[in-house]
Amino acid sequence: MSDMDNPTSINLTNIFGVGLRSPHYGHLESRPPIFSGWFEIISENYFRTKGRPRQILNTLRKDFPISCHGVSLSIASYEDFDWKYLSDLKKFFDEIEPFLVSDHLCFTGVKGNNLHNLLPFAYNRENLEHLSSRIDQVQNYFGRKFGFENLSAYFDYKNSTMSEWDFIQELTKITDCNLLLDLNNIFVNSYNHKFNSDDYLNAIPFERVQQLHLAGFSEREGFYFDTHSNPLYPELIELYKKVLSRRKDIPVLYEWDEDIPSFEILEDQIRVVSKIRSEFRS
Amino acid sequence: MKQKEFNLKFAETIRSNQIDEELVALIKDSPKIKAHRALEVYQEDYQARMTEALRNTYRAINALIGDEDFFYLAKDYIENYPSPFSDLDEYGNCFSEFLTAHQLNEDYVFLSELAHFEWNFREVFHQAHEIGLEATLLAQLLQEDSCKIQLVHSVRVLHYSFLIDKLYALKDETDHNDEDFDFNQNQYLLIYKDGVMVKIHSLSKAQWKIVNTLEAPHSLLSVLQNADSITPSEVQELFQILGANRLLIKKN
Repeated sequence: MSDMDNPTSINLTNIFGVGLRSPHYGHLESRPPIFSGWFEIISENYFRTKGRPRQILNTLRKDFPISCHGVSLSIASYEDFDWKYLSDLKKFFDEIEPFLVSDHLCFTGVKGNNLHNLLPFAYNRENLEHLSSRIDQVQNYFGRKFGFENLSAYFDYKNSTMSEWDFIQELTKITDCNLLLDLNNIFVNSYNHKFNSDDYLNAIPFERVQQLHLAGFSEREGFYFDTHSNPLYPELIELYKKVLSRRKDIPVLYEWDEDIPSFEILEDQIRVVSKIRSEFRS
Repeated sequence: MKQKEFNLKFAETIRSNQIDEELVALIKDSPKIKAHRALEVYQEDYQARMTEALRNTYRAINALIGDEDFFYLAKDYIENYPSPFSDLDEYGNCFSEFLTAHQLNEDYVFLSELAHFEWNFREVFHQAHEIGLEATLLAQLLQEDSCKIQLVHSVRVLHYSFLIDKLYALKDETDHNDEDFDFNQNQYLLIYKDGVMVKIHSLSKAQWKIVNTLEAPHSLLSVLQNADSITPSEVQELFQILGANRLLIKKN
């Protein structure tokens, strides 16, 4: 894998990006000034449509770098890949030329039954070997590195033999893959499963982090739920500062997927985080 | 239990109303969520996600029957139709067929047909806008007996036994009174793309028959020979729509 380009090396006018979401189509079609430097798309929402979503993407990609973030790779599945899906995705990447591609460290269902959820697996040697082999297959097929995102999970397995962060660290060493570090997921998991997020960050090979996700969570019956439906809480900002003390140049996506505010409000939120970054001194 | 077997059982549990105690025994209680509850969270999240996908596509049905009945329908559909799709947005392709046999279709007789319309609307929305012959060129070609014409791909020709376009329009109204509205009429529709947007045009039965024929290549002469009881003004109006919106292509 060492001959693959490191996609984190692209020059961005602004390292803060924004998710391309349908409620903002009308606004974006009016070609407003945009603060964010790049857009992230959910690959599956765009790779087969030829309609309005694709036209907006085609227009935006002329002026902005695009990051393709997938939700159906199911890298932790024990079934064969959906090769038609991979082939369509590859063709799509060839057309869109994303500066980053990513998916999640999870499985999403079983054959013929995609649950459209990001489901956890046990952190143990068996799964480490299994995922390593699958990531190798994917990266070889696409001829490029993928970034894999850490999950928010609402349980852990009794047969997990290592921590999530140790698993991720090992996985990146074996496969040379990149990471999409979701700080909200780290925070939610650290609260729900009671671990110290510093231990997590200390184990992360930051040179492999191609992108960060920041988002707001929700509280539900005393536990935190990863909803991407709120502005960032102060705890998330603190976590981001800890990342900044390690590396300041990682592209950041401010995720907002439920109760999506207007594009202007979203960009105001992004400006706030951008200011925090520019004022940060380690 | 191996991860492969766990995955299968976990997927089954998420789609069911039951919690598999065998799985509960294999996962840890966390300080904030007990194992049993954690599995319920995944079940609830699945229901919510799939219901939302159906709501996104079937907005008119949701608006007309209300949230309570829509959730009831969605629950039944989700229970019977797993998603084979990589894109959640594609979920719901069998909703119309499912509704024909559903008891709620007796209370709301238009449900299945409205679902059929909403799915077709969605399909046209996601198609590329194929631009057909410009109106004056079309007019010239129609003079040639041998010239065959056909509809572009980004068009649907539909027939319903209810006033579907009026029912569909009610999705955007906050206050509608069904009693004032007689929807029990046949309707013939043409759905097509206009740039990135989708437009709906109501046709007469005779116009619909002609457009339906044009889903395959035909000469104007053969189309008109097979059309019964269509007036010259209906023909003129129809080809005005097809020409102005560039919905026909030449086929040899």
